[in-house]
Amino acid sequence: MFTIDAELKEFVESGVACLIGSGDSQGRPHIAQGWGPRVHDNGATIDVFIDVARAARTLDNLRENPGVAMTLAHPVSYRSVQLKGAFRSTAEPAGNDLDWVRRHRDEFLVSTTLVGDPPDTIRNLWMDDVVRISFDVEHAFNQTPGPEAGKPL
Amino acid sequence: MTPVSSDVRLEDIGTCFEGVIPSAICTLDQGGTPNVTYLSVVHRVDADHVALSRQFFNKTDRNTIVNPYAQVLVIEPETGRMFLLDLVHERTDTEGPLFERMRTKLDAVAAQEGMTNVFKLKGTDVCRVERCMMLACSSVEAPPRRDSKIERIEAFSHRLAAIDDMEGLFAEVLGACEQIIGSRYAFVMLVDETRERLYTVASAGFPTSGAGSEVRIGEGLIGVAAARTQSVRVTHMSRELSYTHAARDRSSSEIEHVIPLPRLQGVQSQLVTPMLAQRELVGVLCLQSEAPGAFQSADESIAAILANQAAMAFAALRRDDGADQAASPATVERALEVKHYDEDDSVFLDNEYLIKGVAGAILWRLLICYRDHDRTEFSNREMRLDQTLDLPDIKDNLEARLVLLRKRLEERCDSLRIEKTARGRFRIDVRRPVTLVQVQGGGPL
Repeated sequence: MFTIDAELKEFVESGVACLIGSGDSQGRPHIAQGWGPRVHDNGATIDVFIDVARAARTLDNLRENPGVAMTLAHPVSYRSVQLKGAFRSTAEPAGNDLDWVRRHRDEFLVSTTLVGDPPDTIRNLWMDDVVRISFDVEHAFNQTPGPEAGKPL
Repeated sequence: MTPVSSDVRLEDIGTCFEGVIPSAICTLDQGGTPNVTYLSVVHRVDADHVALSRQFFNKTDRNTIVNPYAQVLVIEPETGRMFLLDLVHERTDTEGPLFERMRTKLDAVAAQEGMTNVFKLKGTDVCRVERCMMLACSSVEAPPRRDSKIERIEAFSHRLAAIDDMEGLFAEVLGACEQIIGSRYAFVMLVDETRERLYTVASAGFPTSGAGSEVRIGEGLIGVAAARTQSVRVTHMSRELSYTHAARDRSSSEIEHVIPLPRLQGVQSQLVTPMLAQRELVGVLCLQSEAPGAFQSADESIAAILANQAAMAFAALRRDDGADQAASPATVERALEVKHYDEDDSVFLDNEYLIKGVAGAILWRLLICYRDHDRTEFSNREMRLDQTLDLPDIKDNLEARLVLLRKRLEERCDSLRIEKTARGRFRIDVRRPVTLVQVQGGGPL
């Protein structure tokens, strides 16, 4: 089990790009864009939201094969981290979840605009309805481009 | 909004493969654990194949060995539409045209930051695309198609065929960059006599022309493109440089520029195309834009046609000898001090740097003739035959050097001009008395 410290939590919850990787039992991988990654107080569980209209394959995969990977990359610094773990649960957004997702998307929009991406292009990356998935982090890896990429944190 | 995903053809989403917005790849290991990461290049090979750059993908590489399936996510830069490509790994190439093209691009961007061997390309993974699917999204409208521009290329070709002087040639090429590719910011650099450097001979659109600025062949983005005689196209400069900086801190030497290269503030897209004539590099054509993704692969092809046509016209013009003469005098007040350093032929006007090398030697020779013999009229031919210039291979690039010298004088000095008077003839217009100072040794720069 890997514990996310305060510094890494701050990075995970900043305006990063977020990818979710999963795979089915036939060995077919799948990518989904993630929004609003959030670290639980235990430092080991993460919530992340994916667009409902694009979520079916990820959810099917996670029920079949609980292995999940999440890569977080900052558009400006290119600092990147990959967290790997096991799927726990899925649920409809509740409480302040939608505000949390909106905050992340706003920060992501700012980060990408800083490197010159057209804001309208970025806004079309997401949709209104999301579903939450939660997973327990077991391993974390440096993913920043360079010779250290792939080394465990 | 599209509530469901739908299949599309790779050829219909060409801009997804321009590298403007990063793509992502997911693979699985033997136990089914996913690995997901960003990658720099997804290149469309044909209707059902793509090639991926293999750089730092240690885990991806290992996964591919045990499980050939991968999925790639690409994003259309104009619209934000996302596409998932289900791939099967077929082979890894470590040589060949595709590999060399990717390697040059990565090396050129690294070289721009003074780095080498940061992004060593290990191979290109060629994968079969089993399925390409557009994801549901809020706005599904496709970007407008660009026209083919073939008629404008033909018109350029006709105009070029009618040109009989270098200055007109460079103006035509720069004009074509705007009219055909839509690039207002462009410059032409030529290979110098040593064949070790490129120098800027003409530019359009930039706040300062950069005429006379130099780049060593093999260094920086332009120098690497020239050394490998391959086009380099950067579609998102700030992202490429962030990526470079993330990989390693800046190292090694910066290229020193006595005259700064033409450069847009906030340049995001760059296209550097070698100018080749009879398999020989004669220069490069450089285009810049503030917009990400401004130059697409079709633009790269068009730029290559413009550059090579210009190179062949250039080669024909420099072979073309001129003849002689016409007339005009000079006048005016306080003397302009022209200082010449004999070791590197650098020339300073009232202690301000003007030019060095061949162009400096030519100017000095003209001013000596003016002072000692009151001559203002010259011919290209006599310059070529002038033993006192004592410069190897000057014949080939004389006219280009005169163009450069003319531009530098226009930018730096009101009192001296070089004007073309007829084919192969020119005059020096000295509008103020000059004092010539010869200095032994190299210039202070």
